[in-house]
Amino acid sequence: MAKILSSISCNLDENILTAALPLFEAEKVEAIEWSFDTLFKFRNIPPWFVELLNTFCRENRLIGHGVYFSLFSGGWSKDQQDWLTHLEKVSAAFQFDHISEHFGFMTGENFHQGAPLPIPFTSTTLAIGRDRLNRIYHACKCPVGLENLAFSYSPDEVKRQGEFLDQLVAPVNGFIILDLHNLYCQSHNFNLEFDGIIQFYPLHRVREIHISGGSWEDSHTIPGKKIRRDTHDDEVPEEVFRLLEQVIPKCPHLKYVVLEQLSNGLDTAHKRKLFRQDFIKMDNIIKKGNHQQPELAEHVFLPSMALVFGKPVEDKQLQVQQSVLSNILETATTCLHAAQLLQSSILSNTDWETEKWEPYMLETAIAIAQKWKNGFA
Amino acid sequence: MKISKLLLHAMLVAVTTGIISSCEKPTVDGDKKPKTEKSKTGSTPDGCPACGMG
Repeated sequence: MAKILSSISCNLDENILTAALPLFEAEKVEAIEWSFDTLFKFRNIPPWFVELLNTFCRENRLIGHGVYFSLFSGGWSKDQQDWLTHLEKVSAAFQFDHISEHFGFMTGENFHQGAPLPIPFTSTTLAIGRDRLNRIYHACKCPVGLENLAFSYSPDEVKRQGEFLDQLVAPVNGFIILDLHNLYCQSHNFNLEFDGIIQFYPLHRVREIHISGGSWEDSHTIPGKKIRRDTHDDEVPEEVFRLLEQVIPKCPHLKYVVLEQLSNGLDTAHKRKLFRQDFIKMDNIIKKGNHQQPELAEHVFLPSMALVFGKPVEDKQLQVQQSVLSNILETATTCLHAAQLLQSSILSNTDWETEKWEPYMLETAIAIAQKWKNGFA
Repeated sequence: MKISKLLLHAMLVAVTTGIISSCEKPTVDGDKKPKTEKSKTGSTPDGCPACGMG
């Protein structure tokens, strides 16, 4: 296998860069992941940040991670076309080693307001997802991948996501980002063993792993139940480090392990120190993993044949369903209220299987949708 | 990975003097909001929603 690179999620952000600067100085950061679509509000990137990107670019150690494309939106929007045009331009300026996006569709009417939520695993959503990945590949001309989503409405959905991801990326011969904290969330939220979840994932497609921290939230529907949320604002739990150790030998084509933390979790000197300690801990596990793995040629995650595409695949019914769901989640006053609205909506008795949704996860979906409907602070 | 001293210095200057955050909403002309204004609107979240559980 190729050498696994200790990486950080690195954006144009004061807290993140302040936290990471000592790691850069110590030459510990081996690759960076940049969310290239989070700078949409700014006309110019500072020259020093461009140079930072170019420094890693020259060593083929810059990877791109999209946030806003909304891969599974039933309709095709001008915003998505603009996103692809932006990706094409950014890819011409910076040679990415790969580009990835998130699983799910974004709630919210506006492109940059909302949060990604799951979709039903159907032939329709599969066709839409494959079409979008194909378009991303044509825009960036490098390997394309998808990250597993932390949020699920039911344990059944957790077990099916890995296989669906495999089917999605197959035509572009893409890769998967295995976010271990997302699996940690699912494991806790549905009382599932990690081994029981990981067995459903195509680990031969894992080229990147994410680790991060998160937070606990009390459920109102089940008193005493704590929901784990992937808020990226705290230290990496010890259990996630153990999962990393456990999973590295099972991913023969793993190349990047990325430590993710958001700015709001790095606003004090103490938190920045903890971030660096997490990085060193991650780096030590990776170094150990590198020694244990046999030397194999780097796997090429590129389509084996030329791919063509015509008009964007769309499904108006799915589009309407997503709009109705977003509206319910963003406006419901309680979980019971949302359940009643869902029961009397067009989503009832459909592939969405809202009848099987765990109430405490519906409650969490409401919290997420209402948190993000106004976009970034 | 090695980063040039010049770049490290430029980064140090940028983080010391304050740079625009990609996770903060700018004003219409693209300038960063004053920090005092941000603290007054504490009910809106920082960060990014991409993980799906944020």
